[in-house]
Amino acid sequence: MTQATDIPKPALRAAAAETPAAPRGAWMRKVTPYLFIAPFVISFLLIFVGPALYALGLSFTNYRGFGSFRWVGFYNYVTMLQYDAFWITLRNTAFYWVAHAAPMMGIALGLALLVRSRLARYRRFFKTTIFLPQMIASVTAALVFQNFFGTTSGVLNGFLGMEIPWLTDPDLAPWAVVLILIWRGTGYWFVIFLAGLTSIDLEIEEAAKMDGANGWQRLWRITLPLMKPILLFAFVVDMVVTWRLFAEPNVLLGRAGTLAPIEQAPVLNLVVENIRAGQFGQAAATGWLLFIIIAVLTFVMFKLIGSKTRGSER
Amino acid sequence: MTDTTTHQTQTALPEEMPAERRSRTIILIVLLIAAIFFTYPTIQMLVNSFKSNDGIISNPSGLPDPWTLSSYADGFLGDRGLTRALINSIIISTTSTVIAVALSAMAAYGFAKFQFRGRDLIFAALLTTMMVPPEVLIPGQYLIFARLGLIETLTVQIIPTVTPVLGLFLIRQYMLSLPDEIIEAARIDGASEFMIFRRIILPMAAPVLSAYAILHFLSEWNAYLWPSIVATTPEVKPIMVLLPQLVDQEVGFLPVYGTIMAGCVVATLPMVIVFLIFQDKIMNSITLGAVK
Amino acid sequence: MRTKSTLTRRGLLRTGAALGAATLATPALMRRSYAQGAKPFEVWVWGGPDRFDGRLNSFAQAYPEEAGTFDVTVRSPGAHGAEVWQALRLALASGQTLPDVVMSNYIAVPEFAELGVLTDMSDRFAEFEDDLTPAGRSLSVYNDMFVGVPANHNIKTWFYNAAKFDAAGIDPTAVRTAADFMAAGQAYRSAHPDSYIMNLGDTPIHYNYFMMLSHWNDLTLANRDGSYNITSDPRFAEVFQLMHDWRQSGIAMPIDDWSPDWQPGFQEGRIGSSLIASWMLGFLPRFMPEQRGEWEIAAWPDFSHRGSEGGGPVFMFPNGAPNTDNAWEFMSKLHLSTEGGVIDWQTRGTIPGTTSALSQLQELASNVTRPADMTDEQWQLTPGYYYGDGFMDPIIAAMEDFQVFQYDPAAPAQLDIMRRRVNPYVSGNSTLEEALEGMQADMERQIGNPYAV
Repeated sequence: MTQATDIPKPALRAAAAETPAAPRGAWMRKVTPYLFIAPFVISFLLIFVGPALYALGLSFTNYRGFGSFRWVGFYNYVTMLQYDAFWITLRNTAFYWVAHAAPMMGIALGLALLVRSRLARYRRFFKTTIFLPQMIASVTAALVFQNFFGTTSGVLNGFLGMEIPWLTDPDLAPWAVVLILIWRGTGYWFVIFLAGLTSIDLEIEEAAKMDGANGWQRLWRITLPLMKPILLFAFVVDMVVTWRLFAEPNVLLGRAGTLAPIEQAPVLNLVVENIRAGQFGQAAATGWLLFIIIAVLTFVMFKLIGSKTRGSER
Repeated sequence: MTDTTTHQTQTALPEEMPAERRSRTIILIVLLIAAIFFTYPTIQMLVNSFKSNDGIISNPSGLPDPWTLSSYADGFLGDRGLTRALINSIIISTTSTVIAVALSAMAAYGFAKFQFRGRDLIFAALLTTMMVPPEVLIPGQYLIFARLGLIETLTVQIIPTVTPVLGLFLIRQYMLSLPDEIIEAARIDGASEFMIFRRIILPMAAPVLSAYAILHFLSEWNAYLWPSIVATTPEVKPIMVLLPQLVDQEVGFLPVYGTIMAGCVVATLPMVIVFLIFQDKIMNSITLGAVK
Repeated sequence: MRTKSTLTRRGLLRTGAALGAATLATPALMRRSYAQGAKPFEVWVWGGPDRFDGRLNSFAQAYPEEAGTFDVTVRSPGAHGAEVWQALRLALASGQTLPDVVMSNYIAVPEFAELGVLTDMSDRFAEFEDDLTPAGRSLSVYNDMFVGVPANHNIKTWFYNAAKFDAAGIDPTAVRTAADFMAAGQAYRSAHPDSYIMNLGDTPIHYNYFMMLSHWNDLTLANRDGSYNITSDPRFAEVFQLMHDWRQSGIAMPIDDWSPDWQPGFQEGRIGSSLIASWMLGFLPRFMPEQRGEWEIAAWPDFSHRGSEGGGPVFMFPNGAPNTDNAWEFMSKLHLSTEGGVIDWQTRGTIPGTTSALSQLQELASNVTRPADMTDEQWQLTPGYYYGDGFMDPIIAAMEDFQVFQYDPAAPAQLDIMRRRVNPYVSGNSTLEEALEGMQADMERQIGNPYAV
């Protein structure tokens, strides 16, 4: 989010303002920008801000969506914080992030380096295949993996001639979710890292010429440090996205459209479960707790990154 | 690029050649393994969709024997409702994309090319809301849309998606780089503001608009959580909500993987074809949001 | 194959709908319309709209002239009963048009009755009240108000493969105590190394617990004052420990009911018996038609002979739905009249809630004959064809012991908590104390007083 391109052109604007305009010009000039932003901003207020505030109000009630309700203060927040399922789903979500992010970023970066390497062939083909899973929807991917990991009529057990309960064993099931996340997500970051590598290419070459370094040294001493801001950014974005995880674990580990068991569920399941139980107040409170967690974590991560990368940013 | 390559080839000593050939082979093998890993599930989906629902149980891992279209027939010709769900998905994703891009483009133009009171404040406020995950709003949105009588409609799946702040941000960033001089020239020529937007800005911003449109369409095609709550009747259910619910109609509960895979193929194929045609554009659109 | 076969079975009412099947306007999965007559109503069931086909067929056979006067829309919000409850709650919250009649196991009747969203059917029940069996009455009533039509009774029933039991030297009627059952399970395992006397996996379903708990009619999870009995009443510990022992001793095949491995388990002969409910009558002929005549029926052993599986399915009528009268007419004719009760039992094995129907079917079951207007395919799926003469005797005898667990208005949430806390113990991943205390604590904190709506 650089401000570099944002520099207004005061000279030009001033010149334009002085030019004699049409009769209603001055007034129109003032109103025009508002007319352009109004449809978006007003829709946004109605669609986003309104429901957000309404949800905040709801979170202090025991409203079921019909009939009467009582104001219950922070009761919904307190019970949720006391509910071990809340902490279990938080732990699960954190696990899903940690377990998939590190290998995924590693694989994505490694593949990006390989594809960019001057020794690589068929670059376009590999770029296409690695990115392809991005075109597969989460739900679709989860169903394909469900078919793959099924116990009695699963593809993998069919190959192995065994009956390993990949998706019902609580120790194995989370890893199947992690595998989907890696499978679907790698292509995205691979493309971004490729673009990143392209943008620092020149610097690498220049630095390498000065150093006379070999391939490995170049990678460790120049490429990776230059890629660090992008990598850290990737981890933050991926973290925020993972807190919103829902489709993959639930489609893969739930059955016939039901939710995954709490032991493997992401935190959003508690919002959905409460809505389906008709507990709108509790659902809203859970949502706002989730918001607070994401906000704090993002803030902390940006602080950490800010202090670490200040030197390399312009 | 070419410079360095020749430079390296020149300095490479003859005895390094076998080593280089070896690395070349290793890189190729690693990339091939990656290619298999990333394409295998898609291929499995395609292959298994040509098995019948009984065939996939008795023979989950082999090739179809016989190859049959019975799963496609079960999904799309019977009363499973996949055809309807597919059409619902197309309507929802397309409408949402058109409205979202239109609203974002207009607002982006306003934010990028005008000076007005509160501009930076409003824009910053909008960006800040990106911190709030949309899922937080679901309880509030559900009840508000319920009061408007919109639950179990296609509309309720479209409306919450038409004001993407990310889209606004990306398009505005791009528009900032468009030259002001052209706009001023058009104004002097007496073009109306909306005319300028339509005739000059939109064509110039076409690359970012189409790139964001693709991103938006994909994310709507993927949508699952909100539709699974507000769209439970077959008339309005999108395909992503229906697919996981396909079960044996006689016994219930048991997923029919043949039909599911057939549905997955039909839901995926258009995306893959579009991707293969426009892959550079799509990959570039991905980098829009990130490497800036 | 299976889906194909149903097409021919769907009988009279389907013809009209089938014509439009390939077109876009077709009522699709989860909702199907039988648009024929002038009396419309919408019904919600779980497990797919086909689950209602059997009832439509029964109705058409019992009342051939009247079947065409109804216009039935069937909607199935999901594969599980819980999804029907969720859909009903959301329909209530969103103010949509409510379904005229909703099928739910008795489990959720207290919740919706306490919320005041069910129509009081007491006046309409007047003409049927005298004919209701005690079991039928217990399913129709909540807090002395008639709220639903009993659609079946989930009587605790033991299905077993007779040849396999003989080979292992097990006589089910001689199995009385829990220790007897354990011994039988072990004898069965040594006679049939590839087969099991029961199945119980890592994620048992709520009914696995509640069938056992319903043995006591004075047992409740919570008291009216909101206090919970789970850690204080030893019967909870007793039941959970028993199930834990079954699983850990190896007499149970480690898969769960309704998991993808369940039906193959029966088909391949790896499950040789099941302590389950009478609705299984209708599923075995579908699961493994080729094992016709091999399966026999007994009552549950003495140590847990009373109770039921969630009572049974009840058709309840939400307040403010547009066509309550039509829905009531259809349901009462099908499930509260003698003809309807007998025919629905003949075709599908459901157990009626009226004395008149019950006494008739007992006679019919002692000498099973094929009803005149049934096709081969329909006939081969009937319990009479599959199990043979006299198959109802143990079930009707067990009806004496039918009773419904005292579910409270928070039962749907309690089911989830119980499974979450007790499943790990049964599958060997936590202790009995953790299960009991966790269950009690979760219910106290997350539900509180179930009666404080």
